[in-house]
Amino acid sequence: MVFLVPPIIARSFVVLFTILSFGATALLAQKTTFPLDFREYSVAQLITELESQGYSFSYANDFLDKDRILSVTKDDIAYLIELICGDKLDYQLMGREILLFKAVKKKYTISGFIRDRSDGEALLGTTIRVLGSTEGIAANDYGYYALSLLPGQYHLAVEYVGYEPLLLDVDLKQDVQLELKLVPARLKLDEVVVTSFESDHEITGIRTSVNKIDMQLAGDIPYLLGEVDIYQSALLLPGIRNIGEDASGLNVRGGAVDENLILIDEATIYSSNHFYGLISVFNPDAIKGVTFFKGDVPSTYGGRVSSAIHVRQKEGNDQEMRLSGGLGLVSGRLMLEGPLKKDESSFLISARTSFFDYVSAISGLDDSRTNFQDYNAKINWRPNEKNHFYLSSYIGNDNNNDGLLIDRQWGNRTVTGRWNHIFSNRLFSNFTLSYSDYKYEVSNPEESGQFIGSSNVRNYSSKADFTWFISPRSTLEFGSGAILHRLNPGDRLPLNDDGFNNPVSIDSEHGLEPYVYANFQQNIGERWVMYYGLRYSSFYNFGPEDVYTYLPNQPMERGNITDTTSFSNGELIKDFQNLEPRVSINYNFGTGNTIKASYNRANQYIHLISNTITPSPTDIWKLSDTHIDPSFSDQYTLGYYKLIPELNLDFFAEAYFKSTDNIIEYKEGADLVLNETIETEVIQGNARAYGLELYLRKKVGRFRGWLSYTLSKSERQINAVDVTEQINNGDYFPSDFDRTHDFSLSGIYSINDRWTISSNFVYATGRPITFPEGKYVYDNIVLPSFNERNQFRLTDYHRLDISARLEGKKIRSNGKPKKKIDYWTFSIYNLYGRRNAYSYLFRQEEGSDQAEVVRYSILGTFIPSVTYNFRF
Amino acid sequence: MLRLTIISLFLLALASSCEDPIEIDIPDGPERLVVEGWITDQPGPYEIKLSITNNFNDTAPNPKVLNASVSVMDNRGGVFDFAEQSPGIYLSSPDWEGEIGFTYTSMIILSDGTQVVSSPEPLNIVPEFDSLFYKEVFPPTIIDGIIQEEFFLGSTIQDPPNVDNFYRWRITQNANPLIDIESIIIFSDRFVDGNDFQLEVPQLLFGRLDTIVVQQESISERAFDYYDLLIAQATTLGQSSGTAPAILRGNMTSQSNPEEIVLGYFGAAAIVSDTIIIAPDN
Repeated sequence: MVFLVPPIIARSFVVLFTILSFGATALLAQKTTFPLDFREYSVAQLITELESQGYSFSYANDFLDKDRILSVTKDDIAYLIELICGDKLDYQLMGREILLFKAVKKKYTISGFIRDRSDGEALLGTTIRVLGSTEGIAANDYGYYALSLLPGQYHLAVEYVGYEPLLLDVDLKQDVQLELKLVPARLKLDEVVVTSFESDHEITGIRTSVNKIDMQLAGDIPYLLGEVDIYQSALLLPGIRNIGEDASGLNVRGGAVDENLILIDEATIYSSNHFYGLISVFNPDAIKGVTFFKGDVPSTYGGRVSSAIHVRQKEGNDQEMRLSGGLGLVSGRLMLEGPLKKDESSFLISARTSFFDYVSAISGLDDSRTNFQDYNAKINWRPNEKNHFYLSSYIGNDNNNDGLLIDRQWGNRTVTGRWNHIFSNRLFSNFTLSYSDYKYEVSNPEESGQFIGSSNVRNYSSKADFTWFISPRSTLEFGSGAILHRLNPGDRLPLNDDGFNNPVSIDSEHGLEPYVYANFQQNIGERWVMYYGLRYSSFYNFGPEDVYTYLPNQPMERGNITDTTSFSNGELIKDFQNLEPRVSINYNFGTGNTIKASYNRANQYIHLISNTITPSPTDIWKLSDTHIDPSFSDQYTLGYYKLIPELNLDFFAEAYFKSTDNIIEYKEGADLVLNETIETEVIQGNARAYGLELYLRKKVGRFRGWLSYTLSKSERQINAVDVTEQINNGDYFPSDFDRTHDFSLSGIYSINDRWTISSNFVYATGRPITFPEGKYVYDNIVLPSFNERNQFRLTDYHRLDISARLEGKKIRSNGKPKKKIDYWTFSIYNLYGRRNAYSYLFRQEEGSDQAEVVRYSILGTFIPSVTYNFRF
Repeated sequence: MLRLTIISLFLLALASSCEDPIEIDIPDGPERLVVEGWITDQPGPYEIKLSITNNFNDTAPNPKVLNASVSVMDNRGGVFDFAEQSPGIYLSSPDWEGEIGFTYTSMIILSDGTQVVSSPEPLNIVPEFDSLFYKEVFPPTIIDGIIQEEFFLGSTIQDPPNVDNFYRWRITQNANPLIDIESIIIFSDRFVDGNDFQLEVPQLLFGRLDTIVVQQESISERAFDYYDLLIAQATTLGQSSGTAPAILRGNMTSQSNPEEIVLGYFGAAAIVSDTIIIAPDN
């Protein structure tokens, strides 16, 4: 990496010259004085004078200002040479020869972690600016910073959204370790709900297409059933969609649900929704914040072609014990956090459970049972400033019983262990081991059909990440890691041995995904910020597994199997090697205007195969192998960003084009359950998506809010050898999550210290659907005759939500402030009760031989809710 | 109390995701030929029905296909012609019976010369099943304080080992064949191969003194897949975890234009049957 060399050389020179200069000074000290008039000389005159004394000077003419006037008051030779050098030059003395060269001064580093003063949480991405200059730096993803500067006095501004800025005066004479603690902004009115990009982007550059949601601040807008939810907030940002009101997962910039890398404390989450898609698995209490990388994904992240969504759990308050919780119509939450040893170690433990079941049991409305739970836990230990240890875990569980006998359970489990080590004040490291498991289990105790079925996806991941703060103008992140994937597509075993059922078990799949990456950020001049990222990823699919060979140039069907190859344990079946360049360029015009262009390549080796419209918990994950190629995407983004500080407004416009190759589409009528030859049920194709995203936000003040608009297109193409496998004759067709227009407006108004009201309005083009272009009768059943996929649309979607938040009294009757903080949230989702179509049902009218079209809506009425939250 | 009201409202909202019949314009797609016909090992005549798709909103019956030449061939050179008995309905000669172990292919020539053939369909032996039994639904449904007496059917099927078997049940209740989608019952021996396994059909409920006839048919794997998708399309289409809309491909192809889609299915099956009268002692 060529760009690395100059800083290293420069640094070695500093050391070398420092030693040499000291030597020279020692030598000169023995030298005596000589006659010289104490008056003003020009540099040229003084050199001539000294040369006449037998000294000789070597220098380059272009850096020596010969006309500079010097006032001589002593006749010591060292003093005189230093006078000639001034601030800008250094010298080297060899005998009576003096070599003048540009001064390279040693820099000192201020480094440390940046934390919230009230609870010790690391604040990721906080910026530190050197006031009066364009220099500055952002803390890395673990809250560590290192700022290297020449000796001198500096005014520093430390800024993080939602916190009081911290102003520091530093007299830098040596390396300093400084833990910075920020105080949360006192005034609610100054808070920001959703951050789209850092206001200090002049310093660090803007990563295009990044959205952050800070949980502390996300609670102000209305939510369905009053459950604060990161997915619901995300849907109000440009470029993030889902298919409908109970659809699982997110579609980022026209990408499929499995194309998002979803991490919780660096461990993969495979299924991120509860409750049929209404609520995400992330308990807002236990979460610090979420970052969405929609387009320009740093090379740190990989393995998915659309986006990276990183959810970070809180570390736990290291100052005082806190109990917090809340109660809504759907769930109850409780969290305990506190120090194990103040300033050194803390823990957090949190639980959320639905109690919908108890309500429905009492009401007797329904026999079916649905519930979910989330448990989050985290411990951290900081024995000293150089070493930090973290252990965190998430366990989620969903349960559904159909009211008869069939019981289904699914959920994610993750464990992450991390060690942050500071090698030197400018070299930070993070070592991670994580384990992630998604399991689905179904049991049917019904006598004749009794069985227990299960499937799971697991990964074991290890990685090392380094941040090297080379200078305030350049930062290098690099690292490597490996993920071991183990997929168990399905087992079906008899519950008890009645002799009816035979056990069925599908071969498990194994893959290893090693990678290395580097990401270099460089500020060039005052206007340019460049990111050069590169990721090299490999994938090894290995045995034990039986691999089928199919007739070449024929559709992959069971009937076309010609051979079976058995691979033994650990034997390599197929490998893939890929290079993923990721580059972006920022140009800052000044006065708050920035443009940015970026290019991003990504590969994906694990795919979700689903034959339903929205993913369901039973869907199958599949590794890339002999028959299924990895998908890869290329994304180009061009953005313009504008800050209008006078009005507290910021704005961005981004245009993107993304093409994805080797996407996976199920064949029509695919059977995915316990299928040994899953490759025969899918077909690979291409996707493309492009669009324009606009976003305007007012961050502070009594009235806050944002407006987001997306104009986009998302299409797929399945062009198979065999005509019957093609979809829409091999032409591009709109994907299920194509939305031409998508508009949302969120507003928050603080009436006084206790009351805040807010509202969301959403308007979007209806999603594409397939109409039956005819009907017929077979076996007395009226059936739709479908033709081309997704050629029609549902009616447009729109909805208005409102909410009000009432803060509890903060002052006791005796005038002292209360320690307990509490508030109520009242909200109404879908205020005017619009019956937005989720889909149309094309079916036979009951008890008739006629066909009918039925609009199917999920949340087709207004839904009020009330939630109570507290913290001790 | 307010809280309870709110909760009930919410429950209502969620429990009854609403369905409203609506009128929308649906354009006319390509007109497609639909073939429906089955050969069995029981006495004929067998029927092959030919019709054409019409607009989804059309209230008129599907147009029939007249004056086609319809025949079925077996794999040993036998050719059996079907004659148009009424518009679009073609019947075989009553003295011909399908035989176990044969495969049958239908061949249709439309009046415009278009040739349509089916894939060869095996007429497989059908495994026996034990006498039918019935069970009472428990706990019983109560409507207006009256306990409903409801029963469902079951039987034990003797599945032969090491061969993939696919089954269909056709049910007749008091001499009326059940023809709605819930009455199309198909199952396979995928998880029970070679075992005597029990099948229960809890979704069809019968009353005291009903006479029920069950025909057990051996259908082919392809016919099973066809019905599987047909049932999914007729019942779950459009719902949130329902199947995605797709062309329901059967086993008919147009020889004149292989890209043209022909709907429907021509199948063959052997049949065994049993009768039960629901007459519990108490």
